[in-house]
Amino acid sequence: MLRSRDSVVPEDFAISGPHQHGPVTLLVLSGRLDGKAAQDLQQRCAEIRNLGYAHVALDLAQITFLASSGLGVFLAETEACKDAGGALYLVAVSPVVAAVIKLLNVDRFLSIVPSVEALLSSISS
Amino acid sequence: MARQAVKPGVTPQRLLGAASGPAELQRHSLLSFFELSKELDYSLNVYDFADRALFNFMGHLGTSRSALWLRPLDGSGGVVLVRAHGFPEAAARSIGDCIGKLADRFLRDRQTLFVSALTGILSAAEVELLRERGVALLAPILAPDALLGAVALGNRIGDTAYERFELEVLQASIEFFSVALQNTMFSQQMQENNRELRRANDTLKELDRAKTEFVSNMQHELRTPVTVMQMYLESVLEELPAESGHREHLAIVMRHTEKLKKMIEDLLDFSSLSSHNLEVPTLPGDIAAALRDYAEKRRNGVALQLHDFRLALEADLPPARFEPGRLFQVLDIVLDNAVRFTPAGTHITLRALRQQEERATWVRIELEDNGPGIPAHKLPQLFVAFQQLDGSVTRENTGLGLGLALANRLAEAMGGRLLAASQVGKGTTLTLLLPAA
Repeated sequence: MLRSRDSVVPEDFAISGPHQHGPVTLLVLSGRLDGKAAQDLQQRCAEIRNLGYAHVALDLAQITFLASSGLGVFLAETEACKDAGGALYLVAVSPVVAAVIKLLNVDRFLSIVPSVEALLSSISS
Repeated sequence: MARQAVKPGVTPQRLLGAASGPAELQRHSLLSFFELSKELDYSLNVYDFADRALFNFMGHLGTSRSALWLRPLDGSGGVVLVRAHGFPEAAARSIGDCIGKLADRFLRDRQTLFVSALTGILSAAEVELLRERGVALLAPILAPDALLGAVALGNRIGDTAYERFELEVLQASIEFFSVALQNTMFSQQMQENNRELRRANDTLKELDRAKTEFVSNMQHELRTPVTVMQMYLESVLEELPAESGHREHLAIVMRHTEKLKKMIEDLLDFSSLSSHNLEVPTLPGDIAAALRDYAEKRRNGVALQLHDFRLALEADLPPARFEPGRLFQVLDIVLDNAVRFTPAGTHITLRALRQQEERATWVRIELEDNGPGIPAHKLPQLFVAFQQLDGSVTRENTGLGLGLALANRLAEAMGGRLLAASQVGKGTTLTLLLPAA
């Protein structure tokens, strides 16, 4: 199973955004999504939901490592956004993320889209 | 809860022995365990611990629902909901009621229980409730001789069954979690005890000062009648004929009155030395940084009592005039009160915002809880020294009732104010207003 790319230097986790694209609030994530990062991400998502934005998208193209905790937050936030009347979208999923999602067979539960443009056009249609 | 450091019983041999399923899933399971072992940082509080563990279990097993309960440190009552993800809070609380009924079973069998196996252990209605809520299994968090709490996990996405090796790794993960939690709570409890000792010492000093003030007030009351007595005695002595036999008796009374007056004067001198007015020199400072620092110091200790303590600072708070040590003393008193007088599971928020009035700008610092609240007629007693709202001899919370009176004096000494608002059934908010710099 692929979990990290060949790198000896651990990349710090970073969240950029939120960027508003129509009804969707986008966060761009980069680096290692481990336990601490998962907690930070969940708190940011909760803040966005508390402001009334229930359609949240996470750009995962620059995620270099996905711990179980990271996947756990995707699953928890999918439920939370659904309860708030919206959805969580995983955008531009990197190979390390795709591998874990496929392994656990949770891809049908998650909303995975190739790009923000594709997401916006699917919502508008 | 643990009284001394606990050693883990999880061994690599045991974990590898458990790994007998499909290779990729085995690897994922074991990696999840090792990730958890790195993620449970010693500095985390109970709520962060719960979050990290639950996210790990969800990603390990592919479920979108999880929750964790713990028993209060003093072992009183049932389990308290610490965190729930994917389960609505009301649902999680009703699941917690079922866990309370499984305590004996958990202690005896020390095993994860699937909801499908609970028929006959719980009532049919309770089993149905767990099924409806999407609970797949309940796993105990155990100390060697006590149930610390429990974890609930939802059905797996796609309704696939939990594999045996995955459950064994989960059990090992929860065991590791339990050991790490007990050791961290033990260490944090010691830090909290030290802080409480320091605060008790501060309260004793204040009690001593209050006693001195009381004595000083009494001396003023005593001195006045003695002075009046002396004046009239002198007047009578002047008017009495020289040969009167009463002169000798009155002279004795006069001497003793003088002696009494001298004793009172001495006492007054002594008390005026020890009774100084409370002066708190303040300087303009970064109140947001001070509150962040304070919340960081107290978060773990508050979480130990299973109270969820959060900080919410308004952006661009103006600087305020305060003295950091005295500010922390006020916040300690207010926060300790909130923890003492509300049940486990209460949410406590430390909030700060700008308050603009016509002629002044204040920094408004609120400590809000969602506890049982205080009846309106009892609120005025809050800031009165030596009064507790529950004055009965059988009251649960003992103490001198000095804390909030002192906090109020300190707030005023910093040029601020302390206010209280409460609603029964909704909660209480203590507000400290500090002048903006």
